[in-house]
Amino acid sequence: MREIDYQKRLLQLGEISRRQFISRTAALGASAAFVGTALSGVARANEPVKGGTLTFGMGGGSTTDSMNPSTATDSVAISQVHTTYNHLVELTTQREAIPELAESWEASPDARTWTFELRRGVEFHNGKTMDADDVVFSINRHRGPDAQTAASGVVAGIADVRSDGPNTVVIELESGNADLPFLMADYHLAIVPDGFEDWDNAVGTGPYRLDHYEAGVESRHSRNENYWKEGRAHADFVEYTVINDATARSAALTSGQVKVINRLPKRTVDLIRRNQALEILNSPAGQHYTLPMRTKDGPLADPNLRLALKYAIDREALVNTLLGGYGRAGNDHPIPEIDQFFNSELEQRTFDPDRARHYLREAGMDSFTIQLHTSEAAFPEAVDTAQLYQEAARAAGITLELVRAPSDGYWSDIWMQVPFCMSYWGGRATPDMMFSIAYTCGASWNETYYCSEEFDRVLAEARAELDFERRKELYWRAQELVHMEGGNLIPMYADYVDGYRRDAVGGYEQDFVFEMLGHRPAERLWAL
Amino acid sequence: MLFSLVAKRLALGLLTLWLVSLLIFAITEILPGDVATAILGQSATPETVAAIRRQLGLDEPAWWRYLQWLGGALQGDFGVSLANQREVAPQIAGRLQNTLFLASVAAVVAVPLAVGLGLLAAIRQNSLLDRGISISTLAAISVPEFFIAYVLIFFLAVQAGWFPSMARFDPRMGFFEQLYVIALPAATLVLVVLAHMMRMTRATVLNVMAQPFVEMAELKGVPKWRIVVFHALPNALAPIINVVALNLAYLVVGVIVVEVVFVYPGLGQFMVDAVARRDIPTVQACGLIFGAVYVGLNMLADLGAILANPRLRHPR
Repeated sequence: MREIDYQKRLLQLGEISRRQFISRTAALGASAAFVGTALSGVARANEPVKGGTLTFGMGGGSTTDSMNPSTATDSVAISQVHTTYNHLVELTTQREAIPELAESWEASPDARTWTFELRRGVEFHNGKTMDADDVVFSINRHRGPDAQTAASGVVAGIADVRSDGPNTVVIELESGNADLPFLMADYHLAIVPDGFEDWDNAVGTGPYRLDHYEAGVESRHSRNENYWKEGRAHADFVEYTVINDATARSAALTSGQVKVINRLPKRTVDLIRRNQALEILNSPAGQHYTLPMRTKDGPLADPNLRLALKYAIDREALVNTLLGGYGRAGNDHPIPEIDQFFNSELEQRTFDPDRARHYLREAGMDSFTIQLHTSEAAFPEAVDTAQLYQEAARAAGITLELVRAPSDGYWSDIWMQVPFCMSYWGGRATPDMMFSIAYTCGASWNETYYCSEEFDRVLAEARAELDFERRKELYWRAQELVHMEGGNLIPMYADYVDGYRRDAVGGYEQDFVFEMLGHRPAERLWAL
Repeated sequence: MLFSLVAKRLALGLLTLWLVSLLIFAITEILPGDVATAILGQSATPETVAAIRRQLGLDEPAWWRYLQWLGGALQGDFGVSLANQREVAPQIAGRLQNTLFLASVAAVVAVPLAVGLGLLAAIRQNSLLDRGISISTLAAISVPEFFIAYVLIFFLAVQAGWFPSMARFDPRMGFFEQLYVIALPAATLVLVVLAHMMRMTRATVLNVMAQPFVEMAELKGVPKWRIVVFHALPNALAPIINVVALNLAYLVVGVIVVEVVFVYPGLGQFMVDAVARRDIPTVQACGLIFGAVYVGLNMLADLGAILANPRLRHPR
């Protein structure tokens, strides 16, 4: 333990980052619980306070939500999942995969067979002890053609899940994947008791029991006195209130009716920031907005035209005017700056009408006209983005005809149907998850129909590669390929912005995975 | 006589409701997308969509699904929500209660206030008071309701801190606590519906005031307020009742914006969410309820107008 104390000291002195601390102590065999307590003792000046009630006002909820983790797709449902259930693996706010219900894991050298050792003695809210059968059931729920789940892409590479004794689960993959622990942290893959389907009375192993649930309105939870995780779940009660209107959400926070809110409106966040009682934190996570161009047929099958379009948009202006600075310019690949595999040597694409014209000429054209479909469904600033883009592109001889589509049915009738439209991605914990979901040949959400033999080969090799440097090399190449010839114009990364009442909550910190401490505010914050 | 009239109205109302149900079903069929794609949004794959469609029976023909639903609804069973697999009826019951509570509170304040102000304006026609009432109520109706809501929130909830900005309504609260919680949304609704009823009261009363029998009363030396309240108002009642009924219906079916701003769990938000998710059983049930409210209130208004008018009450 001496080495660990030394690392802890380094962290306190600010000599090493939290990320370095976690990876170093993990290498020393420190358990997640230890890392968690060490970090909370260091990074947060104030000590956790027991008791009280945490109240959250959140956008991103609907009356059609349920406690079934399979169909959780938005902030409220995802946070409620993390309040009630645990997963095999947890993601820290720094994007590291640390043990949760799995105490440890081990991969075969080809990264095809993974063995997860489960934590012993963990009980569900109904008193049942969690074992390997529960885990197998919870993963298999998402597999097969009849599974009603938003996680079919996550489990697609799994060939077999089986228990090996009561506390061991073995997962066989179709091909090697070094990122499987990150996949197991996907919020859909919550661990529920074997055979469980009664979502109105949800039962998990998580920090809080579900007391009351009204979809799209509110939920109330009380502390799971049996909770196994140390240094977590400080408050006695947790309440979520769905507030989809951004102004109402801000008012609820400033008037003190709730202690935390998500999604502060970017245009007014600077006004709200002046209020000394509030702490505003932005999450520079992976959320990015995209303008997918159909690469397999139609007008944008010509890569030169796609490059012309990529140079005809003013990314900096979009970030400054539409995001109020809470974001960064995108570089036409989906890997965010904070990712350890981010290609830092790839030149940032800027607004360059001359180069856009150059690529137009390469395509044999002087001017070019195309329809751009836009909708609020894609992202809140989508229509404004399209209008600013239209203005900028004019300078490059490109005419964009804007078609504004209703939010209703956008994902089924416009997205992936027309040559040029708008979309967004929440960002994934690893490059492989992001690339394989939307960039490999034939992937079901490959919104640009991009298909490159080299890209797929590079990605497959990187997936099974356990050596960091080699992996990095491969992912850098993958980013370059998508940047140059891919179909996605990615103008900006948009931060999530949360608001906390300084006098009412403690334990908040910046989150690099999603919003509100990786949607785990319930167990990570405490009430003051 | 009255009985056959009511029966006729009732039959007509039911026919209207049936047409409403057909119309809503047809419209939801025409809309692009279905519940399966709506549930999963961007994350829908063809396989999962097919699985959900199969499980929900969406692969059956439309007319068959409609008939099945209608049969259930006639027995009080509104089916199961396609989106979250819960029974529709109990979900709606709670929401409907909330909506009716907010609407009744707003109506109890707004109707007497509007009629009173209208009468006051009529009695003191063209006075400063009359103009003041007209200008302020018209100003309140001229701005969108969410604006009124935000103004009330800003001054009364955020700045002064007198009222909660969120109407977090809970049936277990005491009655007065419930009133306190919904004070701001109710006030918003009152401001929104006030002008219409007030203007109608003032206009019809003044209209009656121009009639010879009022002149007669004036000549006999009856005080102005007595003329207005006992002679003009009863004769002006029919159009006022109609406007009141329309506004009451609006309080029940048209308050979605207020629900959203004040985070009030009413029926409007519930229906909009259901439409967005193509949750047809829920949309149908909400549509039927809203239709029934409209038809019912209009029927009551007609009956009220008949009762208020002896010439209609005893037709020759």
